[in-house]
Formats: sequence, C-alpha cells, structure tokens
Amino acid sequence: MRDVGVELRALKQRAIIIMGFEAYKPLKGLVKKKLIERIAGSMPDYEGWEEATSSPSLSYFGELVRSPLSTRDYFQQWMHHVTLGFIDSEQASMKLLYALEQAKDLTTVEKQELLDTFWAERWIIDYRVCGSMRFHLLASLRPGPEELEQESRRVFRQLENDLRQARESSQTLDEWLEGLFPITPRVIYALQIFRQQDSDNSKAMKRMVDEMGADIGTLFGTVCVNILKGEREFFSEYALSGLVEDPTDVRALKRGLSYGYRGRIRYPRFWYEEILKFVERADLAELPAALNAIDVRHAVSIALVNAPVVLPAFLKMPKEGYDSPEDLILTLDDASILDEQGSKAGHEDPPRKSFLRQIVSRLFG
Amino acid sequence: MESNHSEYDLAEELMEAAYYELEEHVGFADAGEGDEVRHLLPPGFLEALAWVATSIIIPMVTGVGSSLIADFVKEKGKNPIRRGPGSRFTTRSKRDEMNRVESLSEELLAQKEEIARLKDEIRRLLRDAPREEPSEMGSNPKQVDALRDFLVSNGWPDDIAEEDAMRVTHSVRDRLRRKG
Repeated sequence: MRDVGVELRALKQRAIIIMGFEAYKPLKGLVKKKLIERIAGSMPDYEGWEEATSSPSLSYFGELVRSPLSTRDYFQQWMHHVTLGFIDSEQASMKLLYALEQAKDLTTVEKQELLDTFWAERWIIDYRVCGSMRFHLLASLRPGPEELEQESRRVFRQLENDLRQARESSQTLDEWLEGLFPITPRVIYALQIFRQQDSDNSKAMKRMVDEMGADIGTLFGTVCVNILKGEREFFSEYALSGLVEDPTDVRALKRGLSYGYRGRIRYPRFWYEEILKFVERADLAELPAALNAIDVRHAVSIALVNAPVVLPAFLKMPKEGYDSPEDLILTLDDASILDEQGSKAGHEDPPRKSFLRQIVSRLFG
Repeated sequence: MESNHSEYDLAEELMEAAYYELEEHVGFADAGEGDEVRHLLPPGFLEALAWVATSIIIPMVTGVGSSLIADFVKEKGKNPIRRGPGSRFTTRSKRDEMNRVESLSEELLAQKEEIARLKDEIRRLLRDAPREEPSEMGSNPKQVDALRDFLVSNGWPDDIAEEDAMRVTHSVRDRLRRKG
C-alpha cells in the first residue's frame, strides 16, 4: 500500500530542487507552464491522489479554491504557488498575506500559527520572507513598547524550547534538519521585534538569536553544498570543526563536544552520545554510519526553501550558455535523458547544463 | 604530589559544572567585540568564563575569601572575557581578520596568564578551606549577585543572568558536596 503523504513529500522535494535551481535564471511564462506540467505529470498514477488530502494547510486553501480538494489538486495549487515563490517571493508572500488578512475569524496568533503550517509544508520560499510576514501580522496590531517587550521574551523562550526539543528528540540527521527548519523564520521574526527595542537586554537577545540563525544557516548551507559537490561523509568533519583544541586532552575534548551539542547548533543528542561513545572507545574504529547518514534530497530541498538565492550563488553556478526553453526543460529529467539529448545534439554541454546534469545525477540518478 | 593532582581534578570538576550550566547561553557573550561580527566563540572562551564563574562561587561555598579573586572579578566586571584560541571573525575581510587576531594576541596572552593564576588560587582555596558542608543557597547572596553582574557585563540579559547565576551556584555547590 503506497502512502500518499510520503509520495507527496517526495514530489515536493523533487519539485523544490528543480525549481530552486531553475529559478536562478528567471523563467519565461511558457517555460514555467511546461515546468509545472512536467513535474505535476510525474505524479504516480494510483487512486490515492484522487482522495481528499488531510493536509492542515488544505482546509484553508480548500475555501479559497474549492472544497474538498483532492491530493492531486492540492499539489497543483502548491506547484503554482511555489513556482511564484521561487520567481518572485515578494509577490507570492503578498498573495498569501492578503489571504491571511481576509480570515477575519482568526486571531493574530492563529494566523501566525497558520503561517507556520504553510512554512512547514513548504508553501513559502525563503525564511526571511516568512519571518517578515509573521512580523507584519504582529505589526498590524500596532503593539506598544510593553507588548513588544512581552512578545520578545515569549518568542525567545519559544525559540529556546524548540531548539531543545529538536536537539533532544531527533533520532537521525534528517529529523535534526527537519526539527530546525521551523525555527528559521521565527529567528527573523524575533530579530525584527528586537530591532524595535533599544535596551541592553534586547541587544543581548538579538545577539543570541542572530547566532542561532547563523548556525542553522551555516548547517543547512554546508550540508547542501557538500551533497551537491558529491561528498557523502562530510557531516562529522563539519560538526567537529573548531571544537577540538587539543585532541590528546580527553576532558577538554569532551567539553568541546558538549559545547557543540548545547552551546552551538551543530548536532542533536543522539549524535553527541554516539560521538562520546566513539571517543571513549578510543579504538580508532570507523565512525558509526548514522553520524554521516543524510537523505540528500530532503537536505537539499530544505536548504533551497530556506535560502534559495544564497545557494546557487555560493556554488558559483554558471549563468551563461543556457538560454533556450527546450534546454531548460531538459534539466527536469534525469541524467540518462540528458545524456541522450546531449549525444543527439552532438556537441558538448554548455557549462550550466553540465552543472545541472551533475546535480540531477547526484540527487535523482 | 598526589594531593595536588586530586585538588587539580576537583577544581577542574567544579569549573566543568559551571561550564555545562553556562554553555547553552554562551551566545549572549560578545567577547568585547560588539555586534558587528559573528562571534563563533570557541570552547576555550567558555572555559575561561567558567573559571571566573567558579572563582566567584568558591569563596561563597567554602567561606574563605580571596583578595586576588575579588580584584580579578572587579577588573573583569569592567573588561569582559576575550576570545580564546580558534577565534574567527567571519564578517570582516581576511586581512581585517588577521589584523584583528594579531592585535588581540597580546591581550589574550595576558588573559591566559590571569586565568592560570585564578586556577591556582581556586586550588589553594580548596586546599586551605575547612572541610565543612558547603553553605546553603541564599546564605550568601552577594556572591550570587556578583556572578549575575559578571554575566551581565559579559553580555547576558539581566533576568537570564540571574537564573544562570543561581543554576551555576547550585551545580558547583552540589558537585563540591558530593566530593565532600
């Protein structure tokens, strides 16, 4: 029995990766349409898609579009919205904000919670956009200094709790990344509140929250970039960097590992406990595989949704030599199709196409 | 010699108790650098912070004072703990980073020596203090206040500094009590 929820998540990951990289170059209308049709057309063909989905964000969109929506319809709606999000995140966020503001029966907190659900289900592209939308909902209430102070403390404690929860409950690195994902827009939300204040305390909290955001961004970016470079066993090296000043001093080493676990946002509890066991054994055995095991599509899709602009630029993705719509469409398919088309064309791939082919090969090949 | 070794271990254990209580909030610290740089403070920074925190608590729980510690804490209340080895300044240019690290090196060396003297003083206090039950919390709130103020001067917000000062004090005292 296939699980529609699992299939839907996998399709969203695939779509995000392809859209994320394609959006590096602005898409023309026709290309965008073909792109959507191509991805939507790759949905598996079985009865589950016609059933109404139980997605929390659907009840909202069900009212907006038509109710009830089948999972297939839901995915189509999602594709249109996310396509817009990658091309013009401001317009996409305005559309969503407008819709949220129309929901008169919801309180501001409920609207923020709904926004969190949209983020968790990948309806919004870019954590800064989502965080600003969250702040916009608060700002529309025109809060005074006392209310801002109260909200800043509440959101700070909430961030700490969410972080602790992610650290303690994650049993795999994929769960760790997923656990951190909801935190990033709320980092921006908190920073925007702190910017409205001028006390030493708000500056201190801003500093702390800024570090949280930078640590998570570095984690997502490092994981994504290493995967796209074809690295597979990089996580442990990244996780331990800068934590071990003297590897022969076991006590200092353990303190450094503890600092990486609770002082910085590097790895969750299961990872910390495994690495401690490894240090205590001191038998030069290979690191347990779980310390480097990451679902590559999941990790890359999270990084792209979180910060779509930074990654391709960071990767120095070539911009030239890739401009016909047909070429763009080709990158949607897997590496074997690309190879076939490349050999038919009888010429070398332009640099960007070659780069995308490598990515597609690594993630879907 | 055996005696010195065990005293060293006890001092280090107490420092570790403070270290583990402070590590979750070390992101508050700016190491005297302001907010224009990413902080990325290394474990050595937290260790220096934990040694000072321990030195503030030890006289409280042993009942023996130290003018060296009192002077040090007073001075550090004005000048926060600086970065240690492994520091990085990621938002500056490479050249600026190198210059910055260079200009800090003398200051860090002096701080390292200060911390080493502090460790020796903590060991001395542990060696000379009467072996009595460590005093109860709240019996000497001045030191808790001193620790809170030290954390605030290193970047902590008031209320969280207060909570952390209490937790660190509890933790160090409990560790000392278990070692009795």
